[in-house]
This record gives sequence, structure tokens and C-alpha cells, in this order.
Amino acid sequence: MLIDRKNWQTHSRWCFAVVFITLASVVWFCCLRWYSGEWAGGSSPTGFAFGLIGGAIIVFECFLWVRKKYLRTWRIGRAQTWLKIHIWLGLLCLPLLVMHSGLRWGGWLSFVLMLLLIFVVASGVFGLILQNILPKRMLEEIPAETIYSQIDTLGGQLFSEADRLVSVTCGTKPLVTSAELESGPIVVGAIRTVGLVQGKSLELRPAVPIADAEALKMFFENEVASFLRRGREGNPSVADASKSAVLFQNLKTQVPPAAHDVVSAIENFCEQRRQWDTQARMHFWLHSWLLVHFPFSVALLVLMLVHMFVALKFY
Amino acid sequence: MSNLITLTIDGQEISVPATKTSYDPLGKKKVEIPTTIYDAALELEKKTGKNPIPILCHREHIRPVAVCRVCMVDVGGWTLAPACYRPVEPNMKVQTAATSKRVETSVKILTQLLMADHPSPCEKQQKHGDCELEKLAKDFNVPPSPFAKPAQVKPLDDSSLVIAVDHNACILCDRCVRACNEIRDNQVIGRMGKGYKAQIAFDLNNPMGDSSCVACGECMVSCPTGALTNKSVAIKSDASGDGAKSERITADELKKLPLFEELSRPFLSFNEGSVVRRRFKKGQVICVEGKPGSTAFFIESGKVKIFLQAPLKHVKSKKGKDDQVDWGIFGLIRKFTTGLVDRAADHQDGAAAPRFIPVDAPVSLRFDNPVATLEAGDIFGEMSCMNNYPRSATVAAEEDCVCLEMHRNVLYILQRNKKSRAWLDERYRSRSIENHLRSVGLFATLFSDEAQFQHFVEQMRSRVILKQYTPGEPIFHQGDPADNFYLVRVGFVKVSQDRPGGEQVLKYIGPGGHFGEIGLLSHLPELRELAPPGVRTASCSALDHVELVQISGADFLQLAEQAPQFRERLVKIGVDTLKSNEDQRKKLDGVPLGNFLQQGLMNAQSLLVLDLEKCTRCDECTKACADSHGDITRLIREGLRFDKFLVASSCRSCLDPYCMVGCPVDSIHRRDSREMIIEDWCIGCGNCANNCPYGNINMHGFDELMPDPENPSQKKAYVQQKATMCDLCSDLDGQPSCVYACPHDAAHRMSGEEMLNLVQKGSKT
Repeated sequence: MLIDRKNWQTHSRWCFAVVFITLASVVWFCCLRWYSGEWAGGSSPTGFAFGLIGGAIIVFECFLWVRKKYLRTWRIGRAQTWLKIHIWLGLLCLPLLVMHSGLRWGGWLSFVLMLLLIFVVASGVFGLILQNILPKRMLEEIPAETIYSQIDTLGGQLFSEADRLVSVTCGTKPLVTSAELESGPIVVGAIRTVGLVQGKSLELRPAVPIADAEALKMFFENEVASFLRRGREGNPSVADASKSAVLFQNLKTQVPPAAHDVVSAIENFCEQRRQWDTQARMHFWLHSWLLVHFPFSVALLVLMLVHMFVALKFY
Repeated sequence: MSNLITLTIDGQEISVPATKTSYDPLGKKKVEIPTTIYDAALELEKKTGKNPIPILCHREHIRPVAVCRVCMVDVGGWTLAPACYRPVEPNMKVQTAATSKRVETSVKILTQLLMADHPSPCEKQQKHGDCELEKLAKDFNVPPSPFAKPAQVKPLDDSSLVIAVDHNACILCDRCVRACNEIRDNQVIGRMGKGYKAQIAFDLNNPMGDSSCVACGECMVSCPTGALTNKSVAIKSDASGDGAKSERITADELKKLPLFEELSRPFLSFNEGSVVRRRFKKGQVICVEGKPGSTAFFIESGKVKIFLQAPLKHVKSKKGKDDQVDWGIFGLIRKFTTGLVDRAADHQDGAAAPRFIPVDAPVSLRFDNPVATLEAGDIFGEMSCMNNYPRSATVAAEEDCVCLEMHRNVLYILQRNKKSRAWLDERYRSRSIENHLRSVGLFATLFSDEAQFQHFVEQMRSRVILKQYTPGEPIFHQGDPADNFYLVRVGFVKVSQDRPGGEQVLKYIGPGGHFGEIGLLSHLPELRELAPPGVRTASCSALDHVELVQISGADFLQLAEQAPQFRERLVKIGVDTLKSNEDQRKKLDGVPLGNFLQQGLMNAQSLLVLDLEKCTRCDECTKACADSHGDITRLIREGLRFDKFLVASSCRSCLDPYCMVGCPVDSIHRRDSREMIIEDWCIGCGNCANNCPYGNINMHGFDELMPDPENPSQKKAYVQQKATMCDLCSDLDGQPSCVYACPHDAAHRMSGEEMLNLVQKGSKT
């Protein structure tokens, strides 16, 4: 969730509430220390209260998953309100539960619980930071962004189109033979960028072989084909924008000027594929923190229940 | 409206307008051209049944050039005048060959001279006996030519696979030239040479087969003599497809049928195989709604039943199956489902209140009982045939019947041929007009009792004129004088206005719709301030093959005078339309961003806008949409981008709602709020989904038990497709689930205007 100057107003009251409760709790906790001479533990009324509130917050926090997974269409508050509460209460529960521990690690269960809590909160904060950074970067750096799950399919389509362009230009057989690939005109044009519909100015010309364009075929087979199909894993030489620019510039010196627009088109395809690689990378970071946050949260919840049972049993 | 001019033809007085409306050769610009003496004679023919003026180089649908001069008439001057070209004048006294010896002699001499070079009998006369020149010679008892036949015979051009060219039989009437260049816009045939060596030529005098001729056959059909004849290469086509055996019909057989008798034999021979006879047993299905079709059917004998098989229900999202709450996992989860409901169970906001559903037949189907019977002489499937629309209704034989199934080329000529057209018009007037007027929403509730309505129908019966328009052909232009009111019978009409920056489409009007009332009523005080009096406020043109029912302005105004409630209703429609157009204009005039307009965002009522700075691409919006609508999403998180916003693919109620064009049963409409709605009588053909340029209409299949058309007593399980589009979750609680489920405050619903304000505000900060 983006938290910035523009939408700070919607977060400010939550932030002030959390800061206020935290400060009040810390003051109260310190007063108890001054009064009793030791930090209040989990079994003290105050510590128990902190634990109870913290535990309730953790249970509530876990309900966000249920809300998002199974109750998407339930009218039980907008998902963004749930997430907002999730963030701020999640931040609040850390100081509460630290105070609940009486600033002691305790036994192995308490120790593991505290570690898990720290991991969960830290991974959540990390995710929040990524959510504040990466979408903006994606917007700026990936004008050709597409739906993440479609990247491989679209990469395949780019390869097919490039294969067709090269085979008709060089008068050779395409790498992948299909009736569809062998027919149709050559379409050359810029890819879509944010806010502009450039597809309308595509240039169309008949597909005719161009003499002395074999270098294009070689370059396509050696450098481009695997990159378009598999992205960065395929071939790193055109995966780098600056190297790619040099390689394509060199290629243009080796083929007749009539084939230059085809070379440019394939350069555009590589640029598009590079953007999708970047998108895939950013998408991974944007969502992979959940791989830590979610299982640790589940572990925290389970161990917390065990801790509650043990603590109440031996209270 | 033009002033009337009164003249006398062979002693009979006739009044005709001084000008008539025509279009420039490209059909782009409307022009007023003078009414000619021949036009007046045609009017007279309607009364007397006889036209005394012969023609050769002229036909009503082509531009007059007056080259053959056989239409000469005596108008009192010292020279004769060509009737096809000479404008009418007040008090003109015209004498034709029927009453003037001088004119008769002139026609005879001209015909004799033309016959002098003509290889009589020509190919056409030999084969079919319908060479117009030889018929003319016979009608006027023209004696054999005293002149010798030309010594040099021009060679035959048989290079074309389908048309044979005999320059010897050509009388240089230029009908083929105008047919090729002006009617078909093919620009292949011209004239070459001078004097006696003049002849028609293809491209740069190439043999016809080597020229750019597309073998459309228009020149051959236009040729009055045997200069251009078909080579008897029949198009091998078989219109069968639905089970009944088809019998090929020869041109001779067709000529014996009243509908086809006036079609030219060369045309019928040229297109032999394009009409087949099919015999259907009782109960046999002739065509099925929603299926693609490209032929029309003429019922020769017997009766057929036309009906809608699809349930008259609309798609509704609801909480659980059959309105029972469907409890899911752990008994905690309530699921939404999507099903079909009729309007008795659920009335959609803004849904039309139909009494009739327009279908591709001479009848419209009653909403409460969508079944009708067609009988011998009726034609159905015209819209599918001319425009390739899916079949709008299912047709089955009510008793053993025989139908002629025809392809577009034949139907097209039937609609253009004067006699066939008259035959079809008469059928419409005698049989279909009542049903059609009832199905027009404007008239449906106009009359309080049946007797009044019947009186109205009788009044209209003789006054309506059926008009055909080809795709792209203008009906009228913005600023033209308003002269007629129109009802759409077949096809779709585009209504647009010329605005700075180009044409702005206002709406599309399909079968059952009407237009042209604003210009006729703009003299009324309620409309006077909103529209200039007596002129068209928008341009209308045919989007495909369109058939309109034209009611003259005078008749329309008379009707408005007689029925105050009709006038009131029209005025309300006019005021609403003009205000809405004005609002739209103001909106667009204030938008400085061409790209914003280019993406069609301005008119959107409720765009799903994703703020890409906030969106984490988690797809919760898409998943929530699917969860709300029976696991089928109505949005795709991809689409056009503007600034930092992504406008997701979800119905945007376009300024130019092209999805509406081509709905064979007119079941996709705009609500008053301009949002789209799919009505109960959607037959699930998918035309709207194909037409939507943004892919925002989806087809959703529902299991339904429906009567088997071939065995009505039994029910069969069908998957009934229905078109669905974003309904803003109005069936649930009106809060779009996509927005409700977005955890990052990235998804918002807003109008195009709000989005523009947001973008402009963002760019300033």
C-alpha cells in the first residue's frame, strides 16, 4: 500500500493512534518498572493485558488473508481499510508484545515467538517499502508492461513474429515452420508506450526477400531467438540495453539499407522483451516477501496458540 | 421542400417538385438536381400505368447524359428536347411520340440509325429476346435500315471468364460506363476513340479479361443490347445447408415467378445457382437464431413459424443459487453466482418496455409471445443476407412448405429492380406495415384504442415509401433542409455531427428505430431555441445495407397536428436529444487533450481506472469480479494507459458504441444515463462481443432446458449463451467488487471527465 504525502491524510489518524497507544503503553510500562523495581512480565496484569491485546491483533491480522482469499465479495469493509488496519495494528503489536515479554527472551518457545514476530513485522515492513517503491519504478521503466502471467506467451509471440520477419527478409525458412508464419505482410512500428497509442502508425509493406541480408539471419539465430523465447536466461548479450544497441548498430552495417527497418523492428522486440524481464524481476520482489511473511505469520499464530495454552495452564 | 411545378404531358396535367434530391457521383455530397420531363412522366405513369417516353441511355438510378436522344419530346420550341435531361418548367406543354407525329418520326429515325449498325438479332435478342433497342424498333414499327451494314466487323472480346464483349452491338449509350464508375465505383470502363471509331474500353483499352475488371456484372446488367452478355458460366453455388434438399432453378423458371419476372434474363443466367428451391417438411428447422447466415428466403408455398428460442431473460448476479444462500468452505463463506432471470422476477434499471422484438422478417415478434407465422410471398432473412448478420430468429416449417433461398447478388438486384421493388413494397404495405408500426416504440403507445391505430395504419399505408441505401451512402447531411421522417426497417444508420476536429458519432439506430423528427419539428417553440428551423441538425448515413420507411414531412406534420400526444412525445424526444448532444459538445470542446479523446475516454460513464503508482498487480480486482459473476470475470487488467492510469478493459459506455451495430434483435441499448444494457431477448449470437473494439463484452453460457424446435413437446438441454458486460455490480449492491476488493486503493471508478480532472490536477502539482 502506497503511503506518501498525497494520501498521508488517510493514514495519519491511524499513525497518531498507534504512536499514542505505544507511547502511553511505554510510559505505563516504565512507571510500573519505577514502582515495582522490575520490568512487568507476561504474568503480571499489565503484561497479560499487553499479551492479550497483542494476541488479538495477531489473530485479526491473520484474518486479512481470509478476507482476501475467501471473502473478496463480502461487504465487510473495503479491502483497503482492512489492509490499512493490518499495517498499523501490526506495527502496534510489536511494542505491545515486547512489553508483554517483560524485555526478556524467556524460554525457547518465547524466544522463537519473539523471533517470529520480529521476522513477520520486518518482512511486512519490507513488503510495504517495496510496494511504495516498485510500482512507481515499474510505471517509469516498463512502458510495455503486460499481465505478468502472459509474459512467456507474449515472448513466444514476439519470437514467432521476429522469426517470420527474418525468414521473409532473408528468403530462408523460419526456425519454426507454420503456415501462419509464412504468410502476411511485414509490419514495422513502435511499441506502445504509456499514454500514447502508437500502434496506429504502424508501417505495412509487402514481405519480399532482400538480397545480402544473411547476416540478419545469423544474428537472429545466435543472439536474438533464444532471448525472445526465454528472456534473460536465453542470451545475456542482447539482455543488456547498451550492449544490444551496439550489436544492432553493427548489424545495420552488415545488411543492406532496405533491411534496416526489419532490424529496427527486431531491436524493438528485444527492447520489449527486456522490459518484460525487468517486469518479471520487479514482480518477483513485489510479491516474494509474502513467501516469508505469510508462512512466518502462520507459524507465529500456531506457536502463539501453543504459548497461550502453556502459559494459561501453568499460570 | 421544393416548389411544385405544374406541366402537361400529352394533355394530362401533372404537378411535380421543381427539384429532386440526388448525390454527387461518389455519394458523398447531397445535391439538388432539377426534376426532368422524364421524371414527371414517371409520376404520371403511377396514375395512368403507362409511360409514353421511351428511353435507351437512361435509367432512373443513373445520372442522365442524354446521348441516345430517343426520349425526345416536343416542348413547343423549334427543336425537340431530351426528356431525360430537360428540366420541367411551369406550364410546360409536352408532347411525346404518342401524340406528336414530329416526335414519333424523330424517334423512328434515331432508332433506325442505331439499328443500322446493330447486328440484329444481337446475342441478347437471340438468347433471351430482350434487347432493348430491338424492342424499341419493334414497338415503333421501325422499317429496316436503308443503310448498308458496316464493312468492318469489330472482333469479339471474350477474354473475360464471365462476360463477352461485342463492340458491334454497342450503341454507346454509356450505361455500362456509368454503372462501372458511378454505381460500383470500379473505374474500369471508359470511352476511347472519336467519331465512328468511338467505343467503350477497359482500362487503357485492354481486353476485358486483362483489365482491372472485377467481374461484378453491373455493366452487363446495365447494357441494353447484346454488347455485354454473360458467357453462361454459372456461379456454382449451393445455398443449402440446413438439411432440406436444394433444387437448382434455371433463369427461365425464375422468369416465370412474379417476383423475378422483371429481372433481366442475362442477370439471372449470369447468377444461375444463386437461387435454389428448398422443400421443408412440417416441423423442419429452416434457420436457427444466432447462427451465421448469408441467404434470404422467399416463401413460395406453405407457412413457416418464426420464433425466439432463447429464454427471454437477462443475466443477473445473485447471492447463491436460486436465491438460496450458498454456503462454502467451513460454512463461513457466502458465494455469489450468476444466472438468468426474467423481468417479472427482476426489472433492470433503464430496460426498455418492449411490446415487440424486431427480427429479420416482415413481422416483429410480440414480447409476451414471440411467435409469428409467415406465409407464401413473404421474404425473411434479408438482413443476414445483405449484411451477414447472424440469424435473428429460429424459423421452422409450420406445414410442408417450399422456399426459394437466394444469395445477396439476387436480393440486391430484386431490391433495385423497379417492378420487383414495387412488388416487395406492396407486400410491405399490405402485410407488414401494421406490425412494423406497432413495433416502433414511438407509435406503440400512441393510440388509446385499436380503432385509432387502425385508422393511422390505413393513413400510412399509401403514404410510406421504402428506400434502400448501400453501406456508407448518406441519407442526409447536417444542414440539409428537413423533408422526411424515417423508420429503420433493415440495417443500421449512423447519426453524426460535423465538429471541429472531425466527425462525432452521436448514436446508431437499428431496426425499430426512427430519426428525422427534429428537423421537421424545429419550428415549434419548444425546439426553436435548441435547433435551427427546418434543417437537419446531424448527418445520417447507412452503415450497412439499410432499408428505411420514409414518411414525407407533410404527412408527418399532419400526423403531429392530429395527435397532440404524438407531438408532445416527439418534442420531448427532440428536446432530450438536442440537450444531450449539446452537453456532449460542451464536454468535448473543453477537452484540450487529443490523446484523451483519441482513446475514447471522454464519454465514459464509469471507467475502471487503476493508479499504477499504487497498484501492486495483485489481480484482486479481477478475482473479485470473477467471484461476483459466476467465476467469469468481466474485466481484464490490461488496456489503454493515460498518464499514470491504466484504464482496465471493462465496459466504458463509449461515445461511439459500435457494439450496438449489428445486433440482429436490437437487444443492446443505452440507458438514459448512457450506460449500456443487454435486454432479455438477447439470443447469444455474440455479434456485440465481436464488435466491441475493447473486448469488454463477454459471452456467458447458462444451462437451460428449452423446447426442442423440431419436437416441441420435448425439452432439450442447451447451453444458452448470453452477452454480459460490467454492470457495476448493480445486481449485488451497487458497489463494484473490483474497487471494493482492491487492498491498495489503486482501483477507482470514475467518469472520463473526472479522470481528466484528476490527470490535469496531477500534472499541475
